Amino acid sequence: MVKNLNEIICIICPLACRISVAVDDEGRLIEVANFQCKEGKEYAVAEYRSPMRVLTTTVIVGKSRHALVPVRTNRVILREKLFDCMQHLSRIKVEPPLKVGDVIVKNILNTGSDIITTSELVD
Amino acid sequence: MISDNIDVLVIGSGPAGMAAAIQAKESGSDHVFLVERAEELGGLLSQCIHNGFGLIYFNEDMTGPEYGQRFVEKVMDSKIEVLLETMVLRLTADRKVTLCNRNGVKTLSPKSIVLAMGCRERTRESIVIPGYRPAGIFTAGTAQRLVNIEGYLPGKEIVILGSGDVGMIMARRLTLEGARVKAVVEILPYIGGLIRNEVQCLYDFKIPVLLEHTVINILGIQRVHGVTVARVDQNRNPISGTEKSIDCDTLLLSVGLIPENELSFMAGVNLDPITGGPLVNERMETNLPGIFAAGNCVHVNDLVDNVTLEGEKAGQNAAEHASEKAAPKMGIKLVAGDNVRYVIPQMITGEREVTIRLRVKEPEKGVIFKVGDIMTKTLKVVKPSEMLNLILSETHLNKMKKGTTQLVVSCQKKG
Amino acid sequence: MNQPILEADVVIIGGGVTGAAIARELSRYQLGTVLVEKGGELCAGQTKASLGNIYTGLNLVGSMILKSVLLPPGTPLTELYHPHTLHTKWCEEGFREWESVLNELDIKHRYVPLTIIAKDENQIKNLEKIRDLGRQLGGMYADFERIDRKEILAREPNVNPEVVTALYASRHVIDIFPPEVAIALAEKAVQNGCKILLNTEVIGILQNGPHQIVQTIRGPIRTNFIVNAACGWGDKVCDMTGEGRNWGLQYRKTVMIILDTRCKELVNGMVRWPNVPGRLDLVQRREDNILIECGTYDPTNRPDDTNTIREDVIKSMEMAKTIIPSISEKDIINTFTGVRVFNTRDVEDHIVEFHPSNKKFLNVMIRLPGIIGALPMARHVVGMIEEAGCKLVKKDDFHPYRKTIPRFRDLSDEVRNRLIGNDPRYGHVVCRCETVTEGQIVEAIKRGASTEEGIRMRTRAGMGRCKGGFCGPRVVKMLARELKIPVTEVKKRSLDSPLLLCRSKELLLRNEKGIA
Repeated sequence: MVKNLNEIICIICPLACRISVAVDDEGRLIEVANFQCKEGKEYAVAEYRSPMRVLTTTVIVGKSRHALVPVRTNRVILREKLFDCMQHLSRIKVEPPLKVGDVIVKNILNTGSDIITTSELVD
Repeated sequence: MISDNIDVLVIGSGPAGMAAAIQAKESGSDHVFLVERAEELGGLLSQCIHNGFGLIYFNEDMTGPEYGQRFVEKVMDSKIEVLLETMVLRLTADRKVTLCNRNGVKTLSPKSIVLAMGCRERTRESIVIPGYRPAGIFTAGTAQRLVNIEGYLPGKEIVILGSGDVGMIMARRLTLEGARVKAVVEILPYIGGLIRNEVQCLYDFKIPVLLEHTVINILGIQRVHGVTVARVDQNRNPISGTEKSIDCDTLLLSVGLIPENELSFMAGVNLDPITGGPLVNERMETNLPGIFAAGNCVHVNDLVDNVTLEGEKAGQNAAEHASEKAAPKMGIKLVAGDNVRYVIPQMITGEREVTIRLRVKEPEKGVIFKVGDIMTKTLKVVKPSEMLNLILSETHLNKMKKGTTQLVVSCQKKG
Repeated sequence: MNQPILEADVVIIGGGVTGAAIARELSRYQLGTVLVEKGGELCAGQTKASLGNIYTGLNLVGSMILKSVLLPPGTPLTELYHPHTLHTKWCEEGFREWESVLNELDIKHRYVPLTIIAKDENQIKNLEKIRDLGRQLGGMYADFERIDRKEILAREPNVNPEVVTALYASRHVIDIFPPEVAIALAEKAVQNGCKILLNTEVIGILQNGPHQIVQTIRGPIRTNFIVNAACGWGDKVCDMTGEGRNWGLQYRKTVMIILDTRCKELVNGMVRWPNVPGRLDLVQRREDNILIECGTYDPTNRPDDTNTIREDVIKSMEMAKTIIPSISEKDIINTFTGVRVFNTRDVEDHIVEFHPSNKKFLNVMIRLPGIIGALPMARHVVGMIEEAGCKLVKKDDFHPYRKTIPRFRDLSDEVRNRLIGNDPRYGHVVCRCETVTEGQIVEAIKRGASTEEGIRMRTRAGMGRCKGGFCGPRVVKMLARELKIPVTEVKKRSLDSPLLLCRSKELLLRNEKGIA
């Protein structure tokens, strides 16, 4: 059985443990080492298996004195989908008025997350 | 309507200023003015479109604009007089404030003032990076405004000097927008900002990090076309022979934030040479009666939640001062001891619970903090980039010997 | 041959203080004058990084004394005074004239007391030579006092406490901002009919019958006379009209440092060690900050070698601290490098001569100091053009006076309110550090600024300690708005210095696949 060692830097607390996640060739978890708390261990496994991120970016606004509106995903999405989402959003234009939390794109690229505005734009 | 019967005038509408203005109203001030030089309320929050704000204050993970919006709404609902695109030209020790906007120049005499001007960024010129003076050199915060509010990228191939949070956030932001970040260059042997940013801004995008390196030359006469980097020794001096060039069209600088205190200096507020901000007591009051200060203009914070709390404290006390409530005497000086760079506030009453905010000088593992001989706290790890809180309760303060006039706050390695 | 785009009587090549002064002088006459500048803004070359003083008397004697080491023993010091040189003649004439012209042109200026200090034997010897020469020359050159330590410290309390003696003159140095002088002269020229073409590099000069063609990258100009005021590039320009130049140019670079306004009280005037060959060591109080020029004049082979070297800054600060010990690197807000140009035939003087094989091509190669003598120089140049056959008819509608762009920062609240009442944009403060308003920026653009540097030189926006951190994006947007160009077209100075390379999302839209 081959052990593949992956190092995950834990971001839960300032200790920033470098947690070692060992998996076999089929990706089955063998061992997690070098963690100091339960939360860290859980984080490292989840992060290894499927790193998820919040995407925050901007979308172009038309008919407004503002150039952009800041937006975010309202859920974490797969890290590997970040760029595809950026591409998708680069083609979108919205118009005021906008309130915080307005949905601009529902379930973007099937990630399960919407794109919502994070700022109010009156004009 | 500009009136001359102002209780509290707040300079700056970032998180500190908004919190101070709202709290001043809630503490009973009738007329509260909030003065802002930019086009909108919120200060830097509008351009900090990333998340990580509000985890403490709202127990939510919010973006800068979302966090700011909560306070903007409260400001608008509270009948606070807001003056946008208004610059404070002069401030005097006796609290005369001269404002300037498109309606003219006018001097007001509020009963209390809260200084909340935030901070500015250290520039290429002040750290003397050699080279010509090409276009394409930006501080990270200015670049952030350009990218997130104005809608322009400073360049397409970027090198970032400094691994503080602003630099790392911009590394990610520019990469997501399609630019190529060729390197983040850091003079210290460790990353300057939060671990979370190290992972989610740099490692996620495989951006090369050059620790113990610095930029020793900027290439390009009219526009940047590269930088020369070199490794540095323990004294942070470049090591000859380690030079290498990196092609790029933009250099972003994230090399330090400096509390903005031009007005404080003008008025005669005593400034702490270490923080660059006003010396304040536990009421966030400066040496000038009725002039309070909060937020990044006092000391550069990492969490906006703490800035809000500080702003609220300043706002409340500013309101109390305006209503002529008697001010408690500040009998005890707080002094920074071993491995402590600074403490805020620098003066306390010694009679009420107070939260000491501080930063250490050097990173250390397994430490014990001591406040005089009345309080200790152990921590597993401390870093200069992370602000720490020590709570001095009344129980602790009661332990003080009679006649104590100062308490030294120190950080020592355990055992 | 292409149809020329422009016809002129005189083309001036070079938009620094020399070219601008000549342009203004020529604009008194009914002539078609065109000034071409290769940079994106006036003062793109040596003028921009010049030290920035108009001076006479004691400060001039200080530089005369440098040659004393070459004097055979027994020679009187007065041999060092060369009143016949253009340099000396024009300095003497020019200083007297500037006071009224600075006011005529509404250029900000301040008399700055000069203290030449000495602490050791060598320096005292040098100081005494300066004193002796000054007294022997008389007039302005003798108009100074010798002061002792007590008096020095009374006038400059923060000076090196080891100083023993000094020479002091209160009205020999006028502090100005060189780009402001050049731009004011140029504005006058334009107002009186001169054309100024920026981003217009000269690439060739041809004869065309009785005329000449100045070939530029933007097209040809047919002209009668050409004035070569291209300073650091003067040799290259001269060669474009043909061989026969018996002089070359040599360049020396020097670093200057600006300290934050917070520490300006550390020095009251210009304080310097006595001149030593190859060095300049002074700390000077400008209106709102401190300027340091302490260092050697290092040879370089390029007129645009404004590359700042860190070691030079460090050495300069060390030397400056010997003058004012309490200054600190923490207060540095700017460093820049200037290139000083000298000719190789006579390093002490200017060369103002017609080309040997082109009697309508006038070389005006001015060495430092270029501003002091600019006014008599310009008159002399115009006189030479007249002698060479150019008919000069005075205009009767020449406007000598100029009103500066309002310096909001320096105005009283009352005057500010009047300005704002007329134009609310004067109430919108854009540059916090220097208190510069939108009204000023718009006015600067009206007067010809089209780049970030142009705005900076005319209004000071961006020159403060935050170096445009707050005002930068706003200034760029205002330039785009007023010039009606896309934001991405706004330049720092020349055409190849764009500030913002692309719009948001542009890179994503181009790159369909995204970054791997």
